[in-house]
Amino acid sequence: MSIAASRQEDLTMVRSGVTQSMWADTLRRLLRNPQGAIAVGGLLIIAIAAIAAPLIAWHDPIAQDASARLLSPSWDHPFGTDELRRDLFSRNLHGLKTALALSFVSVLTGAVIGTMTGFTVGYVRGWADSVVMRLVDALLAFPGLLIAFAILTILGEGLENIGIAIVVFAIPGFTRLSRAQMLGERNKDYVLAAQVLGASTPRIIFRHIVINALPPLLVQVALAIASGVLIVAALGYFGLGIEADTPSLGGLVNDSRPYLQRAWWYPVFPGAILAFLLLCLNLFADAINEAISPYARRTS
Amino acid sequence: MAPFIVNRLVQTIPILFLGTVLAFLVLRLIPGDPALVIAGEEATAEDLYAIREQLGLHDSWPEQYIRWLGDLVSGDLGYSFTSGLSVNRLFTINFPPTIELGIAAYAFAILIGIPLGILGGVKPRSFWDWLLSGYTMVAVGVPSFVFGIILLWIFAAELGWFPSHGRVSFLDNPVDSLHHLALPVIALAMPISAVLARYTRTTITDVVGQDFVRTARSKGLGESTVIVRHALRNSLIPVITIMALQVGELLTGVVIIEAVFTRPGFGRVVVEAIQRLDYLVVQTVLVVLVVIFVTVNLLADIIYGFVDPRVRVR
Repeated sequence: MSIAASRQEDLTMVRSGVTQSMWADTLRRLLRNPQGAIAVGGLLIIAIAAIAAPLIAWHDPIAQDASARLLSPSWDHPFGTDELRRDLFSRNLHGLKTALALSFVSVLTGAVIGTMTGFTVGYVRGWADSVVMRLVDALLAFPGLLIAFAILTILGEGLENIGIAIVVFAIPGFTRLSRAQMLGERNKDYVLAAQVLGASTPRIIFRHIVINALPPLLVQVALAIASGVLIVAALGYFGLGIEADTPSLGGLVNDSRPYLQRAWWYPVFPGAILAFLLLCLNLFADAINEAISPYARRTS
Repeated sequence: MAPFIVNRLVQTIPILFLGTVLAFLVLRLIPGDPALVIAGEEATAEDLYAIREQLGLHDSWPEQYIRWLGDLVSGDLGYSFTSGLSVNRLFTINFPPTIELGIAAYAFAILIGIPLGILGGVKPRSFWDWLLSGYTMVAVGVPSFVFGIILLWIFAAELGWFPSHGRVSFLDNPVDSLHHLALPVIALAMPISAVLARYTRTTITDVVGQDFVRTARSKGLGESTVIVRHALRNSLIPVITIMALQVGELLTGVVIIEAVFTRPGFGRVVVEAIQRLDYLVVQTVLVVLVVIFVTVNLLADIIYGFVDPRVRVR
């Protein structure tokens, strides 16, 4: 077949939509995998519940109701009430919203900063690479939760400060992973071709290499959001950074401690929501991993 | 082997150095005055000045850092700003309970995680493999403090089988000590054992599919010999690295679980010290944790080099 004819065939395929982009292909494989479908469905439900929390929960999360203390679940209070007569359904949903929004935004911020740093030092190498990577190693040696503790002590109470703590926690992991990705990609032929064609360094990194190195980072995003949710929950449990009135899933578990024997619904619902969210994020990470890596697909 | 060890040792020096700098700086950035915390609200300016002088807070940061590092190296950890106790004393009191909990939980996690991973990995899609999937799903999902609260509620509050708080030294009364340890150990070990199980399963399925296992089978060896003598030996080596990395999870988990089960120990020291702006204690604890983590990973790398000669060449 002549080159012209082959090119013509490619073009017809593209026009008829037979070929798929890498992303469409990944999405299709992700949804075809039962784990992936459950994870995507679960995360959608969680996201809708979190975003629509003020609409779905008909009671105010902070206002003290006229009803009795520690009321068991009913139609009016699906998750019961707490010792201050507050509606727990509403408090759970608002806690979920806070945890999800905080970790999502912070992890994405950390991912962008970490990935840009990692790609840059991995491409440039030299002393910048050594310095940044030693710093990353040192940061990774600190337990994440204690870093968050220390940062919150410096910055004081406030959700935005918890966000900053999660950004700091997320950066080193993304830097290390994206640097490794860059080291794997930078010597491939297509990079050489771009260099020969005279493309600038930023263009080579961000137009050519990043697109190829991005999918594995998506797995890391899902896992880092799961860690972020865990940190928010643990901070809530310790009552650090979050005002006492603001609902948080970890705070609900801690508040329930004196009433364990009288009010099973108090610890069980926030615990179950956390578990479901973390499980979906982990399944999602696994499913993406399988969808993008031919090797994982073959062995599983 | 010697150059490999030296090389790895040299690599850890900058990590430890940067670790101490970070631990030092993080606490200096706190916008509070430890002198005010110690002296109380009614203190006069002279009192505050005297306290700052005594703590060496008037010196520049580099001077304070070098003095602190010197003390650290010589083993004199100084005095807690707020309680007046020497940090050495604080450590000798609070280390044993944490070490007990940490070692017991780590051992338990290995004891559960690795056999489960082996059983699931050797026979994919068997009963054990399903058990493994179910276990890891639960363990990955439920945060350790939620699991701890559930254990407390069922086994301490409702059934009364285990105590809900406190700690007894293992040396004084082993039975009572284990009784107090049981619930915290289970809560702390679960997430770690799940990671170990999952990773072990992956490495085993990889190895079982390789040529040398097929060769071992085709020369007529029994299945148990193939698995134990050939597959396991090769697949458990990479698990060493993950085991060392999980020590980081263990150190974080200890802080949480000690709070959930109101056990005395390191975790409580850290939380209280942060709340009271006790710089010296917090930065020393941070450094101790980093040193533990880095040392464990260094040891794991060296052991890896011993059992797998290929690593030494790289």
